[in-house]
Amino acid sequence: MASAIAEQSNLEKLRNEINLYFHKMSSRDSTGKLALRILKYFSDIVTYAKYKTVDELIAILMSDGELLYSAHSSEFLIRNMLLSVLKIIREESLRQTSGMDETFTQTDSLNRLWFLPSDVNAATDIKKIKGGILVSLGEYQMEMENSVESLASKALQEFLISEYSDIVMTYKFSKSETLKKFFSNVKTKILYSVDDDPDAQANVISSIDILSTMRTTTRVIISAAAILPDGSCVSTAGTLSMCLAAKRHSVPVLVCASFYKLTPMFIPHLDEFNVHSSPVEILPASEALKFSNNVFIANPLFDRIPSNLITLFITPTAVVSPSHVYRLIAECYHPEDFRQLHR
Amino acid sequence: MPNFGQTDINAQGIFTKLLTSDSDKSTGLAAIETLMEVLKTSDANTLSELTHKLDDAVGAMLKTDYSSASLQSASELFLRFISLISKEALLVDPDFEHVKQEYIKRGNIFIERIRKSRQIIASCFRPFIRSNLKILTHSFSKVVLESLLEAKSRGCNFHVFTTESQPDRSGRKMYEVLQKHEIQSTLVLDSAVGYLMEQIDFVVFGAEGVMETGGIINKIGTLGVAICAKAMNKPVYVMAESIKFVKEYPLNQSDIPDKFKYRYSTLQTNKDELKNEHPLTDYTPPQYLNLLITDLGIFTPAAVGDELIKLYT
Repeated sequence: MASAIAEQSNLEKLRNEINLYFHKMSSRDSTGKLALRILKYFSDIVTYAKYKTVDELIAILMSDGELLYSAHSSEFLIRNMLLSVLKIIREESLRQTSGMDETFTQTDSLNRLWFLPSDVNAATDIKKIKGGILVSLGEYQMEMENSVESLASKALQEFLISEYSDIVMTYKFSKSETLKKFFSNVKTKILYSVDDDPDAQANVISSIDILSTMRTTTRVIISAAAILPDGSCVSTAGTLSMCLAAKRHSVPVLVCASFYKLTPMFIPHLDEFNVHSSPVEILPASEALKFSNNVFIANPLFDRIPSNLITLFITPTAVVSPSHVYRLIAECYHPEDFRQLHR
Repeated sequence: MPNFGQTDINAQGIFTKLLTSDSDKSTGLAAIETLMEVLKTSDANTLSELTHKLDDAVGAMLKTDYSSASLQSASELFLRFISLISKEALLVDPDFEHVKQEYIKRGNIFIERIRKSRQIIASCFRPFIRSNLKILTHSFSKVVLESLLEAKSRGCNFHVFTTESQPDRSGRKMYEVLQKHEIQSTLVLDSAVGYLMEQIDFVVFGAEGVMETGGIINKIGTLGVAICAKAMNKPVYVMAESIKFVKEYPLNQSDIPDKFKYRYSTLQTNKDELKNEHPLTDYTPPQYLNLLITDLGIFTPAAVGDELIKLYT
């Protein structure tokens, strides 16, 4: 009885902490930091919650994840992290039961339609698995922290972005951690950045110059907030016009993103998920008084870039074309988990 | 020996009865249920005799005038999977009766799963439908109908434009059912699609068969609507159950097998004059399709080939 109450208060404390974190974020933190914080939350649940079987652990994580997700429904990172953690748990329990290190993908294909979900998870030694899970989660966290470096080094190996001839355009360079690290490793002849901050380490141009500068550009490199399974991506607002200009001038568009940005959910209309930030950034409050009530100021944070505008996705582990993103997603997440999330 | 003839008639009879008694049932599901009946009632004593009987039944069903593409793919998948018994089960008890019971058990599981496929598709389609959308659809598809009805029952308000779809005017049937369920709908001429496309939000088709390329075989006219949608940047979605996946790789219209294009009766009577016959279906290549919504999930056309490879290996 007492342990149940203790468990409750532990979980409650964790929940309060994460909700406070979200509440305190005045402007959206960089995706990397957010992802690490969410991962920490789920790891803490694995450490502190009481459960006897792997199935119970999965159920606890699912319900907590869904709770967090419904509070912040525009944050697809929460789902992605939840699914990654669940996949790690399932892999770990499979490894312990079968004793082998092989990980086979049990995807919901035609010939597995009627394999009833096996009760592998049921009878297993929970303490050993818990240790294994926490170790895997620690490794995963390190991978996440190093993801940007591995991204940049992959770029060096795979792409011959020449120092002498490539002219690269990017978007909001100073705001993106990914791009900053990327370009500190990769040198180009000229780097243009559409940016508000005049001090960025690049030639700053404004958004009206995009089309004219695109004539001389050889590559466009942007970062994404989320990669969707049909090969489209969600990126900072304003990136869409850059990609359309690139298409017009046949300039390849490369999207850099870490693997935790892979979202298994289809988002046909971004309006439901788009985060709007304060209208004061566009129109100062003093000016607003001059207008009558008929003005609506939209300040969305994200744009959805359809898959036909993107040439290649660069993740720390793989380089894929948009039509093969679904394969990456099938590797990263377990289908039994995201089937339930198709709401 | 006289048994063979009887199985033929039986299969056709059961199949036709299933389809006429329940107009909502999909052709593929009816085919599978017929094969299940044949399996249960057959008096074969060996595995090869049983397989032979089932193949005969499939041949008999193909002689009716119902959609050949979905019939064939459904039957092939059914036969493939009931026979996919693990080696252990066979070694333990190679008794034929036992194997037959195993087949029947697996067949039942398969049928249960396929019965639910339309609901799964309707729930996969949920995030796509919002209120005040204008949707265009072509001809009569039961899967699309079920998804639209489900969305309506959740309270979404949308307007459906249905093409009349000559020569059999099946679009009219779709229109009548939609009206009956109080969904705002308009019946339009096939030739009015170009005129209408600028107002449409997205286009949705059913499919008679999904090819390995990711393209679909559907009622004639589908290709025209898809090209028009692509030209005006409107998304095109296809809804199909997984039993409609066919292992064919057509590259253009002339690659479609004749048995998919024309009815069986037409092929028998007019074998030499086919170029004067109007085909009933056409092939829409994958570059005109945006997403395929199936009971296995939502796929891009590129992913369909992958799924098929998983199936046939």
